[in-house]
Amino acid sequence: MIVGFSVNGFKSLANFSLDEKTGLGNFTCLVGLNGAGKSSVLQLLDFASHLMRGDVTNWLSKRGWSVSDLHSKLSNSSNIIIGITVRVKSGKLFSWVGSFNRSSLSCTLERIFEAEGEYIFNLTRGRYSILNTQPSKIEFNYVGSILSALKDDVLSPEIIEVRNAILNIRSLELLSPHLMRNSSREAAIDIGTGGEKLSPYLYNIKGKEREKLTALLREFYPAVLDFKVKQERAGWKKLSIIEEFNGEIIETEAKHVNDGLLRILAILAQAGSGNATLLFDEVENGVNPEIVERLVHLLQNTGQQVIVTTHSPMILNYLSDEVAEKSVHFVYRTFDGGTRSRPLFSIPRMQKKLAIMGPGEAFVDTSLTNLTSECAKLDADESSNLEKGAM
Amino acid sequence: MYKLGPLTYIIDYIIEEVMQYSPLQTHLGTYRYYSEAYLTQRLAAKKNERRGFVFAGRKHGVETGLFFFNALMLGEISKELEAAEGDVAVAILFRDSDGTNSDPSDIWEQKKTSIEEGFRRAEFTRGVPMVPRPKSESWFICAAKENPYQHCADLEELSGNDKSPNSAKKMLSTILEGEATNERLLTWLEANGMDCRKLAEEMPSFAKFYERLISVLHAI
Repeated sequence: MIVGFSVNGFKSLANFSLDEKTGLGNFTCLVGLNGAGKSSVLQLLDFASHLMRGDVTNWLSKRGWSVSDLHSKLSNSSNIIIGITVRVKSGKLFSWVGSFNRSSLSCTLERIFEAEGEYIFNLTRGRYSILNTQPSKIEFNYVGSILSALKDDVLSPEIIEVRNAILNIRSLELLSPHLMRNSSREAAIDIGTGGEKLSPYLYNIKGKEREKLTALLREFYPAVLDFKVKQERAGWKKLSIIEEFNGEIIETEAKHVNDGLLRILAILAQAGSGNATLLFDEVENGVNPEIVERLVHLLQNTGQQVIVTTHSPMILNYLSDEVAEKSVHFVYRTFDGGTRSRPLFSIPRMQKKLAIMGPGEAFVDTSLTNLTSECAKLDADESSNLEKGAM
Repeated sequence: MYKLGPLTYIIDYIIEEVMQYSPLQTHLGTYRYYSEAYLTQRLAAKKNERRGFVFAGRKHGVETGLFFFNALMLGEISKELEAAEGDVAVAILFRDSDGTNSDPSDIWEQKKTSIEEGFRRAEFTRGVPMVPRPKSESWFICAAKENPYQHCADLEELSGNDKSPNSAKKMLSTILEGEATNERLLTWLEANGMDCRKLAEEMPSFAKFYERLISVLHAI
């Protein structure tokens, strides 16, 4: 599980961090005004994952971005520096730090280490070393993280765990029913950022797992009996939904299925198995209010780490106060334009509201524009206090 | 029993005007006081039983939820009282409307409306918002200043922030020649009384309270 991350110089995230202490947990919910940087946080994590996969070029072109789009206009440094801390199976915490160079499209400096411990992986000045081995010269090309190009047998188990935790960040932040309706012939290990590989992904789900998935889908949409993915010529996979109305069984091709059902199916399919960190942007989209409670329950109980953004007071209102206090983060821009976050209900006047209102009620009772200036002021005060303390 | 404050005296003057007797002098127990802390405690205890949501919207504006919920709770308490004592209750919810600079300019109106909506949600019909603009000090200034009950509308534009140089509190202290404490105000009220009808003609925020209380009392 990812227990913390920080970044310098990625889009509006000039200097941003979120960690266990500030409330990154199994379930994390980002709220804030449009343009505050919520999606950038998800994009950053997705970017890190693609550094580990070594397919940054492809990732950029899929989003229609050029590498210069990643650079923060608020930062002087030309590299993007990312740090991610992971809790491995043994319970120990390891951090990966990478400095991404925009012209070589690769991390020219990378380190993995236990808090205050020695580097178990170190890449610097064109040489890398694993554990205590002698540094080796890099005599090959790679894109993203060098770990994407090194075979497992030369890496230590901890390095592999850290790499995989980052690799397994699955961003579904562009989830779009429009893409899910398309047939696809790609092989799929996930449903794709936009859900474009939903049909081949569902095609691979068999047996008990499939039964579980349809049962879950039925909890959301009782009329649904089943889904079907038909393999057609040349490996095209076509999705349809089977429903029962008044004893009559009706099969509907994905292109005619409603947005909400497709989105829920996509979320269920991706959340149903695996050990990933799942990212959903505006998770409430297209979903009717009656199933919000189920959705919130699902997101908190996937057995995987989930980070969502939302504008929906209903989503928030179905969180328990304890969860809301820990996991709802207010994302905002400081006076100088950088993105920051604070646990929403750690702000005293929000705490006061939470005592008598539901989290969603307190959220919509608040002018986020005013809250932004309050938080920006808190930041300014805190940093001037820090400076005073240092003097 | 709580210590009677100057606002209870004003309420008592209005009741006497309509009912021809002063509960303050005849039966003190008529007045029941519920602090904000008490309302909050009751609301917090009930929060998790409550089904459904109350979202800001046309009926209560953003940043007025605390007013709405306090009125809701006071309304419920009043209904409980009516049932327990087999009598009629009138609920008056007092809140200052001193906003911060960033509050919308109609924050007073919004707060008053939220209180009305809170009473309505509690299905309590005898609720009265008592929301001075910006603070109750401005009402007392109007009554205590040189040339009292004249040209007072501007007093509603004073700063509600006590630290501000032209705050209502400072101005009242100057007029009373000493810090405007409850004791000092009570002494002043005992000596001078308050002409509520005249005050209502001068100050719109007081007029809203005065007219509503009169109509509620008449309907009993």
